[in-house]
Amino acid sequence: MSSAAEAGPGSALSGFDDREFVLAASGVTKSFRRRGWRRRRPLRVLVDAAVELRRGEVVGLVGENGSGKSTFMKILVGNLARGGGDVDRLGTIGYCPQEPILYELATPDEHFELFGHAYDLDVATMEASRDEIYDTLGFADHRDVRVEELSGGTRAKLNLGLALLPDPTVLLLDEPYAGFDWDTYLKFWDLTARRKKDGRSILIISHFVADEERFDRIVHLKDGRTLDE
Amino acid sequence: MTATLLLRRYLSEYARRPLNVALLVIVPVLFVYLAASAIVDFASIVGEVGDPDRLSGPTAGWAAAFLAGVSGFFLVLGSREADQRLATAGMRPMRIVAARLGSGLVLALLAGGGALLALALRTDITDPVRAVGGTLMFAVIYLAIGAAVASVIKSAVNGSLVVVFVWMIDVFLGPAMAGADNAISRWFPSHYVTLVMLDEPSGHGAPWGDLGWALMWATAAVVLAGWLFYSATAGPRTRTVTAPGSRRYVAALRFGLREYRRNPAMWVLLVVLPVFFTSLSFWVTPDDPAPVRLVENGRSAIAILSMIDVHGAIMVPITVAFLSGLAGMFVVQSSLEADGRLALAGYRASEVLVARLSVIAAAGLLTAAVSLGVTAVDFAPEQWGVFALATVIVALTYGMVGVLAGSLFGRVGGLYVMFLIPFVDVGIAQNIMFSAVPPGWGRFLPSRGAVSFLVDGAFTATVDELGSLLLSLVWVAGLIVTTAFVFHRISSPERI
Repeated sequence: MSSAAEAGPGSALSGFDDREFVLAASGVTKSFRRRGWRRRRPLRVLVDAAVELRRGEVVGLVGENGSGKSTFMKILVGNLARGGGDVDRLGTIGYCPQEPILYELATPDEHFELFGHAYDLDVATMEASRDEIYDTLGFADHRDVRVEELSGGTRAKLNLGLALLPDPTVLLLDEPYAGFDWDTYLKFWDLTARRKKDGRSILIISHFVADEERFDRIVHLKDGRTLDE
Repeated sequence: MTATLLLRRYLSEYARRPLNVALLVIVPVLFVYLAASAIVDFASIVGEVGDPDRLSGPTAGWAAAFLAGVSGFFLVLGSREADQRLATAGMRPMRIVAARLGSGLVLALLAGGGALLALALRTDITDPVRAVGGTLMFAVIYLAIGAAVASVIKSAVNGSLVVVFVWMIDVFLGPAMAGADNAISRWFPSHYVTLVMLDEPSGHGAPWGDLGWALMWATAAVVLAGWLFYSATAGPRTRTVTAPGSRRYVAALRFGLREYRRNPAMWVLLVVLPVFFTSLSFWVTPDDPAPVRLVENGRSAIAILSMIDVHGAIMVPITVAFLSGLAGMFVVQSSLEADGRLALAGYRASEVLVARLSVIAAAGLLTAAVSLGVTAVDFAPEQWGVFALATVIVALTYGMVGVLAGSLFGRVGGLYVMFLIPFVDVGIAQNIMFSAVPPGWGRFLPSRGAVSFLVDGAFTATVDELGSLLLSLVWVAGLIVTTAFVFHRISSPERI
């Protein structure tokens, strides 16, 4: 989203006051109504989830399959209504969903153009950012190819690229490198390091953390609750 | 054993969306109970088989065919990749094909059962074997068509439109409407089954008779679908790699129109179908007298008009309602998730909605323009402006109904619903072909005002139906507000 609301009274964390935190969530709960013929008890996914993200911090959010990581991230982004708890965000947010959400009949260039408007970027800024993303992730050759004709890996690159486009204050990435080859995976971490150096904050979801040293902190999500490592 | 397990799994997969199962029964029941009488009346007027009792028989088959085709299509398409993976994992493709088609057959039987039940309630089924056997063959043929299309066409929008298009041509140009000895229609999928159900000899001269031809069609359709599905499942499949405010709205609109332009099936549908249906209605209708209630200079009277003109005029809103509804449903459905992401990235939900609705309006206007252009060849309304305005209002009304149907019922359920509502509303409840005064219950349906206004423009020299115009505009405004509310809920869940 282009501009998240600034934290006010009753924020999840007082750190917002001195702009130390760019994202803070506490006591987040979420249950889902179960579909089907029979009425069943709602499925409780998040019981008490919390996370804080400081400026220039790279945090990993890990947990088993079905532990609610993606649900938690959708709530942090504002894509899903929470059952309870507080979420505060500061500045712009770039979100990369787990499954690429794209327009099948549009090309990468057209996606960047449209999302540039969404983020309210001027044309020159959008084009500069777009070209940098093409160069870094290496898919400029496919800029005029419709999404329906792209490989899974290139879709994943575009999916991530749309989140990176506005150079957001906070990047929320849900399994961003799934589908990347080794070379692109390394480029992704170079890019992350550059953004971190520029004071950007990044929260990355993963099933497991292979490169622990790349993260400043790891937050575990288990049985709907978060535990700091 | 494995095949039974697969069959059970596939059926439970479908049954996990209770709405789809419910619609599978409700739609044919309503279709046969409400729409079938209109089709029978229509066939009695334009066709050679004048006996309404005999014409009722195929209506159950038509309903079952539509449902079987659409459910067969989505049954295969929805799990194409998972089925391929199952085959790669070692499952024999033939078993997968048999289980998929078998589960489709069970669904087709369900749809056929509902249609037959409604038929039994409406009329006396004098020959149950013919009715049940014929309906079953209809369902089998269309199940195969749906499965075959899904094996070849990947896009849900394009594929389902192809199935619907085949069905419409088959029914409306078939022997019930165009006569048994039509040289073209004998190549249509349900030609012989329809003749068997009508008990009308084709006279095409073969020792095995029309029943033999019908059985051959059903068998050939299943074999062809099985082969196409088998090839798609067993074959190796690899992916081919090959300013705020108005400025943002214009960008979103340009993008939406470009996306729409790239969907050739929609183009074909929006241009070819109006030409086809409107021209057909002029060609096939006999020049019989048709009584219609008209209001002129404030005075209501029954006027005797030519059936050709009445049919041609009423076919315009029917075609436009049907196509605008489908366009509305698919334009929004195909991009709902990505639109949500766009809203999350900074677009206001209202901006995305207005851009999408503009694309739907453009599609409606295109359909309306083509329909009006084709109508102009054979028929000159008394007041072109009124006639055109009413047509555009019908397009906008049903564009919104399509958006709502897609949002509330999803793609499969939405397609069932968007088949039924325009048929019942514009096709029956407002249709002056069947009755000089449309039935009273039709006043609660969306197109009452617009169609009354259209009839006023078509056949009278003065504007007398301003109340109808107002009613139609209230419907459009109400539908836009409801659509905006539903779309906003979908695009901005956090603010619920």
